[in-house]
Amino acid sequence: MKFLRVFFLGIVLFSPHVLFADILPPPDPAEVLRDKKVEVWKKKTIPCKGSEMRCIDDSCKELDSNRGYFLWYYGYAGGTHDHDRSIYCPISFKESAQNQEDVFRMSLYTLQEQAEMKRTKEREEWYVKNHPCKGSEVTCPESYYNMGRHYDCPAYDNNPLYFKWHTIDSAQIFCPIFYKASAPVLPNSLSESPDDPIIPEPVYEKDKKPMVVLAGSIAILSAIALIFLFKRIRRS
Amino acid sequence: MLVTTYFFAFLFTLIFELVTAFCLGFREKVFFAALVFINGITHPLLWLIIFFIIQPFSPKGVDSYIIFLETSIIIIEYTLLKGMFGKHYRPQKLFLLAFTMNVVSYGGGRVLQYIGIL
Repeated sequence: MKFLRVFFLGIVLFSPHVLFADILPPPDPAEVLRDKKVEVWKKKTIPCKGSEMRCIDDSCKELDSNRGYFLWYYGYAGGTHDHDRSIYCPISFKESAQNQEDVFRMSLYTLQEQAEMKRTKEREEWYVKNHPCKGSEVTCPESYYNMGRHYDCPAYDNNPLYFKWHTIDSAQIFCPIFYKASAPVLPNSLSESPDDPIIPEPVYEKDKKPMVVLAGSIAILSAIALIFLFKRIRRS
Repeated sequence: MLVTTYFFAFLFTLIFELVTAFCLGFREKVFFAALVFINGITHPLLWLIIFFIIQPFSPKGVDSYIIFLETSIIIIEYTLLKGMFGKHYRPQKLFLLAFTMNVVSYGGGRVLQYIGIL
């Protein structure tokens, strides 16, 4: 069919830079890790509530105040370059995760594995309680450069709605902050501190733009093709 | 990631719906072309509405809106099909087609999500 050929040709010509932007570059370990997480996410058949972005420490801080998200962080040990210090902050809502292996599979370093175990243990407890994840995870910039020591993240220490843990292995510092399912109900003045406002979930431009371009181009091409087809049917 | 997922979701939707139409006895090439173009309009609109209108403002997810959205899609597709092929097919058959196609594609999409393909 002529129309079909034009339609698919239009899509092929119009969208490759958008469609394959995420596919063509060879994935680094973090990308693979990110893919796994997304895959895990999708297996749970819950629509993605957020997006993922590559951000530096400051950006993560910005996201940290959003209770609708949790973030995870990944970096290479001893990394000094921007690439090595890449921090991935996929934002997901893993309400239905059922076991730790489905959620986190990072096993690059021994200490990191321990951290993961600890983290997954916390999550397991969380999931048993069948509450959605309300918290977030941040890196602590001040800890990032101090290896082999443990620090607290003081900004959250006084918030009884959160608990947190962190570990340090070279550049591996995890400071997930979770809304604790078993935390007692607190007055609003405590649970909504000025430092931790509830912000509506944003849709990030990184995800938004190519999606709009591709979907929009398909819709426009389809509408044009449908008009031509409709006229042809009317004539015949 | 989102755009790749969307593209494959669109392809799978087309496959599901065209196969459904074929199974229901529709054989004309023009009809299949129309189905492709109609889906080319409704599918992007559905996704754009979900991701950029409903999801950012609905922390509990989009599931509660799915019935409304899918019903709207069925009505839109039925209306377009009836406008184009109303003289060739009975309206009941076209509605049955629109309904079945969307049920199959939605169910198929959920299955693909569940097994991790989408």
